[in-house]
Amino acid sequence: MATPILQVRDLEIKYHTREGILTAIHNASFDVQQGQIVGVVGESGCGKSTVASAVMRLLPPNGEISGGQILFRGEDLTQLNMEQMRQYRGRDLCMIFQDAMTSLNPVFSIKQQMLDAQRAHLPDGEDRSEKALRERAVEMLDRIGIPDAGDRIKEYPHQFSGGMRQRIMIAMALLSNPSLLVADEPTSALDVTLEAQILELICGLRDDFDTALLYITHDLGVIAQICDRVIVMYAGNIVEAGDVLPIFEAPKHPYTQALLRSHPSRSMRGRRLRTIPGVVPSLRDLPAGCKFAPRCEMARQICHTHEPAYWNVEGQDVLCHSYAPDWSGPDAVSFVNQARPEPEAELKPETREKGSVLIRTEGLHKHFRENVGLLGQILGQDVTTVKAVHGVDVAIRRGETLGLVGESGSGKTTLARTILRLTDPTMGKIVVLDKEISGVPAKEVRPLRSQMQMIFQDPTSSLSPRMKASSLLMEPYVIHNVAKSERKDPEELLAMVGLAPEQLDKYPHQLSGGQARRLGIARALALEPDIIMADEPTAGLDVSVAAGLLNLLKDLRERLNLTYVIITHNLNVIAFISDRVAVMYLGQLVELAAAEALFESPRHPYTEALLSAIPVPDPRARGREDRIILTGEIPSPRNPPSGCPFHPRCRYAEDRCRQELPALRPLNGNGRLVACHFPDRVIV
Amino acid sequence: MRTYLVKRLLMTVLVLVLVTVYLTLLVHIVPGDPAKSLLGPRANPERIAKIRAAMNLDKPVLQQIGLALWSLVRLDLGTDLFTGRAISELVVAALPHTLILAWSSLSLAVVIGIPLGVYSATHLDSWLDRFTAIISISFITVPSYVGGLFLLLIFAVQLQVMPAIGLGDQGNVLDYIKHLILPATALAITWVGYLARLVRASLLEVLNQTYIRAEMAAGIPQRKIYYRYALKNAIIPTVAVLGVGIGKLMAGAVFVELIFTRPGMGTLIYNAIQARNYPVVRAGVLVVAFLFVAANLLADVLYTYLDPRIQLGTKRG
Amino acid sequence: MEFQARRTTRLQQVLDRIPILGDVLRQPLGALGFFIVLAFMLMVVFAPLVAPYGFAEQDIPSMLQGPSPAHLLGTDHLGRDLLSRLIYGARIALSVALPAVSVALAAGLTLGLIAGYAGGLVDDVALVVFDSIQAFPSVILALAILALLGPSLINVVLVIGLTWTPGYARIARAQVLRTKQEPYVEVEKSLGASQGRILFFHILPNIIAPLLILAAMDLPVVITFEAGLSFLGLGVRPPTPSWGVILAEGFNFIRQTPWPITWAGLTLIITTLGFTLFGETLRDVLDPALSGTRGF
Repeated sequence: MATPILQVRDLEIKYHTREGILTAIHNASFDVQQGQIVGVVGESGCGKSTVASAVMRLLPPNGEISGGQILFRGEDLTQLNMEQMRQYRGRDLCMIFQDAMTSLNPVFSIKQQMLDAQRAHLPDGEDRSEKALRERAVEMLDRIGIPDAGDRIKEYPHQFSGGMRQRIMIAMALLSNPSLLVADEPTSALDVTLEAQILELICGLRDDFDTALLYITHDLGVIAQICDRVIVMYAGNIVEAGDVLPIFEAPKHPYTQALLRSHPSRSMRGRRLRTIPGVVPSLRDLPAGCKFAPRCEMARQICHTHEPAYWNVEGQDVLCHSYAPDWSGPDAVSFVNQARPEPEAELKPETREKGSVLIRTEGLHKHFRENVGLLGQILGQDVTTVKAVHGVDVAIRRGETLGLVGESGSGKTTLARTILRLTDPTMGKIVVLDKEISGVPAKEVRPLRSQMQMIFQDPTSSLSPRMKASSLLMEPYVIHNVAKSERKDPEELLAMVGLAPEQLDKYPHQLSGGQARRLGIARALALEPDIIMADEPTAGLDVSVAAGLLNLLKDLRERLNLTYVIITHNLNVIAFISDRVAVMYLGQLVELAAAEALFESPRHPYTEALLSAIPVPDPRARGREDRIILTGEIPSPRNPPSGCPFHPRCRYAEDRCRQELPALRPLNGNGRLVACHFPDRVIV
Repeated sequence: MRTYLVKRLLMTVLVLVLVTVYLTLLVHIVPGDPAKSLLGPRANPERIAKIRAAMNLDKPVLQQIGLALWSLVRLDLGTDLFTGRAISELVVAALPHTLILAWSSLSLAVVIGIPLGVYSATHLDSWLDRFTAIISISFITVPSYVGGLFLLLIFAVQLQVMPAIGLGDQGNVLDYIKHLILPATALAITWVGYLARLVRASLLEVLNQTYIRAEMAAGIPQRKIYYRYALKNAIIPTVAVLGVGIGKLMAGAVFVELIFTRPGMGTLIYNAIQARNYPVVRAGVLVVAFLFVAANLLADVLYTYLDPRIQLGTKRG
Repeated sequence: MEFQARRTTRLQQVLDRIPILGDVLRQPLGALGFFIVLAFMLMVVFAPLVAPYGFAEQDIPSMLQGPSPAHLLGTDHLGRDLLSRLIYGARIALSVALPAVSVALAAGLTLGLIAGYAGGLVDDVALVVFDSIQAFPSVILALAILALLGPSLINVVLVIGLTWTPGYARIARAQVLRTKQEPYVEVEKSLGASQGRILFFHILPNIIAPLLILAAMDLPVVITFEAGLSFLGLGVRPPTPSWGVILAEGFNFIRQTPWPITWAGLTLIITTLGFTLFGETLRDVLDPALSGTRGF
């Protein structure tokens, strides 16, 4: 085999902080072959981003490569001075970042930035004229999929949409045809359908240019979809490395196994997700011995005292004592396969009491008018109306879990907020518990608020920063004047969500993300509501922490017979926990069906595309011919397309779709509703 | 953006109207006869009558406001209480000197302060950076009058190398400049410190942004990143501050003009206060306030012009 | 391998134990500022004990002298001891600065809260009013008003209070606007909290702290401002030994003796420096997010 493009050997990276020196990466070694896509996966704090920065030698000023080598085409990058390194950067070694908005200089045009990027590396003899450089830039932008590249190159970053900016960033990185591209979470901030496009783009580039890729991400689904090899990191160590298929089918390290089992998906419906007890250790308090030992179910004495070595097991490198020849305990693989006494017998959805309709909306509209004052109107500015929610009819029954799914601009969060009367509806009816609350003054809605609660997206900033947890928990009672005898104990509330009583004295910023979320749930439960709306309940949480939260939600649902509305763009979560699913696109409800039925056979073209775009943590699922990659991006809600909002991107669209807005109609019984003129076109 | 500018302009006009109103009403906040309180206890009846007439103090308040606004529109600043001359003449004679003083100070501060700040940020923790930090913070704490007094003391009185008084020979540019050096420096001291710190902080904040990292990843040379890419981002908020600076410098000019015995708006207002020549005080304050507001507006416009995000409006897709 | 804690000296260990102040003192500039402020406070409190003479004690034969054993810093044009006058001057400085800043803070907080929370027309009107007051450079505004009211300590306090109020009001307003949008405010609404409750329990506590810090950092600015006004003769009246008055008197006799200007100037600079250093270090320790909020 040819020499790998990148060889990292025994890399050690330290950070110098005020309190002392932290070791962020320890003893990391891996290879990247030409044209190979290597994924580095791990949860927050595992060091994956540090590895990426180290390869580019872009560590922050207090970071130091204290040991090891980084061999790029045989040359050790750690020994180069800044100028020598600069020669490599941007030419042979390029990097793309997570958020394209902040990765492009806002006050320079795309043209200036791309030209300067080229000028930095022009070999002698090449045409340096602005014309030539510009032509190359435009050609690359074209190839990447920017329409009207020739004209638009003069524009500034903020004039492009998010997806376009990401493409521009990729175009800039590829200008010089680098051998290695380091990608630090490039699609984490994008919508699923957009992510699918970018991933396809990246794979295509690998095929065309033979570029090697080091892809950093926390998303196992993405790894499964595009990577050839996988590196799993934990607390600064590489714990397992191998080809993608064996890693997913037969993970060898306990952490990898736990990680895969805690990933929510359709296949995990009706079961509890496996969680990993404990938390990721902070770099200041790393345990002695194996870093994963305190959380490992099969840890032995030796795991806590001695650091493990790497063992090559069936082609995978594993950092674990259990593969040493003298290991006396059960081996990891059989341990996992042992059936553990999990309460898997969960009430099937059918047996849960489906009761009366709790919440119903009819023709609900929420429009935002952009604030153009009188002056602006005189000067000719148009008053744009954003139809965030456009004519939604939905009914939520007691005891069910409705998943409300959509990408950015879909209006799902606005819908939830409007139903809760956190904002007033523009038109339409909302009926909650048989009371109509749409046209009613805010005061009359207050008593109903105790029945419907919301868990908000950002955990820490949803909690008033200067109140202790105990006051926060008691506040609902104070607001609604609940008699002391009727109040639940704060400790009881905490226990319901799995938090220890010690948390009562803490302020929100002292809690972790997961703890803050749980506190929010406890608070929502205080008034014993009938219905809870959860806005992106797992966003920003590590997979293992999210798993615990989802299990909790399921438990509470059973115990308290709660009705949920889960709002998220994460289809895996929806697949895991919902009974029914409502799909929204640009403010409209496009499909509503029972979860199983929806995932089995979607009927709306958008649902079909959405489902095929989810990165599933199963490498065998890739390369399918029937994968649908949508073109274009979600239009701005300010300027929705005529007729059916999805028609510009729909592969089955016809003239009628352009002209006429399809109504939400029942299809084939079973409570399925679809808003499409030609729902039968979606091939099952 | 057009809307924004028009709105800004309207607000400015409104503010100027209010300023005029305030100054008209100010006289009446002291209980008793405004004419007497203006002229003090030892005023003679003739003066009192004169000031009543000059400032329309007998008329109802609303009418006073109306008359004041009307004078404003006609650019009539009133007449000097003692000499009877049109105050506009006095202002026209005094204003240029103050403007030149303010302008020179600002230029001096910019020429020294900004490069100092840039160098500090790009050579973090070097000896010059630390030295600049100490100097900056020391300079910030030196108000213009203390600076002026010290400079006067050291260079004019003790060492006698610089003139202490006056404008110098206005026909001779060099002499004029010679008389300008100490006053301009006095005013500039605080601003050198302030600008150095501001530029340093802005630049450091910019250098922390992801796009700088992305540019480094693209292999763009360090020098280019600092002096072209980063600086342009950092300069924009600095420009906004400079606009305000001109206004504040005009205020600081009061002290410096007094200390170096230079004619200017500051001296005009001060002397008028001492002499209880209230029409002049009012007119002088009005002019200074107007210039201040104008400078702010200019800074706003410049800021809007420099930042493409504001200039080119929202995205298209 | 994992974590090498940095070795700390005994002093650092002691400082680590003291909350907040310890963090300020670890930084050399912060410590310097602290000691200057401490010295200033001691001068204020113990002035009669520390000053060798009264501030109005005249001794005409000894006038306009330089430093000597009898008068450590020299004398002014009326033979008064400069050291004593400067020490008492600290009292004047604080007795103007503290009330002025407090008045401005209270007024600004109230107005800003109302403007920010009410929004709409109330907010627009408030902004225009703030703008109109801030349209005057502060010195000029102060001059105009004091010309009318006549110079005195209380007038100076009121004038400074007025001049500073719009600044605080704007910041309070900005903080309210920012806080209004925070998720937890919406959460409280969803729980059913009334507007009053939200304003008082959730918004107010979250904006007070930054304002207090900013006000504390304004003290040196106000001290300088008052000295400037007194220098022009429109602040405190002689014989009250405001540092500005001492500077003015020194200016009149600049050719005869450099000492009043020198000492008064240095005292003013050092005091301002001390407060600024201490204030900034304190701010960085308590709330680093604030750096860069304030303009000039």
